[in-house]
Amino acid sequence: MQNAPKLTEGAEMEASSPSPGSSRLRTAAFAPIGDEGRAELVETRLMQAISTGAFIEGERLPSENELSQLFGVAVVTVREALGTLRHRGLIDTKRGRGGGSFVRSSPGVVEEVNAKALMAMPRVALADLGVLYEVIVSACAEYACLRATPDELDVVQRVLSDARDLPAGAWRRRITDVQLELAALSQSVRLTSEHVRVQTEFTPLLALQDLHTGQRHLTHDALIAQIDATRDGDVAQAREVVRRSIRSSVRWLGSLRAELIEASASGDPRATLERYRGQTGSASFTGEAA
Amino acid sequence: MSAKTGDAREVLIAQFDEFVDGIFAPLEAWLPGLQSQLAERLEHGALTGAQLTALIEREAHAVLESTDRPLYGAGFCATDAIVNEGNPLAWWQGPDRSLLASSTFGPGQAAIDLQRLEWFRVPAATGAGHIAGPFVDYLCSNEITLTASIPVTLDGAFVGVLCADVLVASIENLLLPLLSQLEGAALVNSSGRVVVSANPGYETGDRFVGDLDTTRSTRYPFALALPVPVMS
Repeated sequence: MQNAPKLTEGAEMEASSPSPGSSRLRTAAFAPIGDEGRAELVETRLMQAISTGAFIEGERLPSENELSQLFGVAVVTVREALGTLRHRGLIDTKRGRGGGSFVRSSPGVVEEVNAKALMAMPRVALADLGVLYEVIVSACAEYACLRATPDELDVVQRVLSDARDLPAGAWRRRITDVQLELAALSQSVRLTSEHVRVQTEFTPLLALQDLHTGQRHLTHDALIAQIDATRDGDVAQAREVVRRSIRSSVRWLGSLRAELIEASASGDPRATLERYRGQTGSASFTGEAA
Repeated sequence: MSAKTGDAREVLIAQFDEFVDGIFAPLEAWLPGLQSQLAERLEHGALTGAQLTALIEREAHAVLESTDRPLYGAGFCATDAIVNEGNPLAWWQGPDRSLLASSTFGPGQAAIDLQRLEWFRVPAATGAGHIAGPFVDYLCSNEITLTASIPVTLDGAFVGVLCADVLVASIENLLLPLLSQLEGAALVNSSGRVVVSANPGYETGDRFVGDLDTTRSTRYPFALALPVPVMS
């Protein structure tokens, strides 16, 4: 299967096919809201879709009509939510042919929203979210070690392998996809659903690491190591890789949070984020308690 | 193995093959009509997702209504050679026969790469029908699923797959009484993953490893697996 010969059609499709993304997060974001749904809920869901990177900067959201159908709310409710997001500077709306609502393409808008979410989250809550995420991902990894096939791992590895040097937004989406795919290889519907739930909550924060090249590479390399361990059926190693990677991320986010809060007294979180951007140093974040 | 258990296995595999035949049958019956519909429509250029949906919906629902197999979903997934805008999936699933959401599969930077999906990739590569799974279909049913698919070609060019989904939960009751006739038997796929198990040591999704005594289906990527009896 993995060495499938390329058909003419297939080759064309591969060349023109858009980068695969975190479609499952879109499905979670667009689950029906029902009667209790109001504009704020729609707004929260759309915020979630944008801040998890299910839609990236410059990308068009589904139309008002489609959103209304997906959420199961009136078009006017969708319109109200979109209005608020526009007012907050997260989306732009263009009229006419090819128009619609687009995630604002000025860089850093989403990052700033996520940075504010990190600052607003108590440190104890961040740590606890990290614990839950680690436990779910480790449990998925353990079952994937027992149940995944080499063919399936080849597919995941391919998705990851050419992603390393993508721009941060596209990279994060690919990574989220790889993480969900690895979770599904547990062959457990319930574990996979839990993973989607926690991942949806955590990805906006995890994505703050993406401005820091060193952190990005740590995450990337940890996933490669996780795939290798899964291929070897090495449960202890897979769990260890997951544990170290997630603890490293949580510690890094804890430090960033502290700096953002300290800087916010004197003004803008942007300056702190800019200081991290492109940095490659990562030696101090091993994920181990000092 | 004794002649008697050998026969029992052959009978069981034949029964299972016959069950899978019934999953593929409506797809095979659908194929010629779909090909001529597509050929006619494509004379005017590629379709949009909405046009494809309109073209396919009646037949997909008819398949789901008329089959005597417990199908969870059915539909057609097109390549971008014939659908260049909107949702390439005209595929309905679940008790409400819902159309799979276009925001998951539609074009755009987050569109799913179909080559990653076994039910698309294998028929595209081999030109033959395939039955993929069991797998956690976290994009669609969110259940442990088997997906049968056959390639659709127009003038020899691959343009998509016709598909039918079956949830493992819905075939357990049919298969378990058959499997229970043989001590410790499980139905596994070609990589040894358990589809349905009458062996208390293995569950759906587990891989049947170690010493195996298998009887393979000659037509589908499934086998009957039994633990090798320990010699005393």
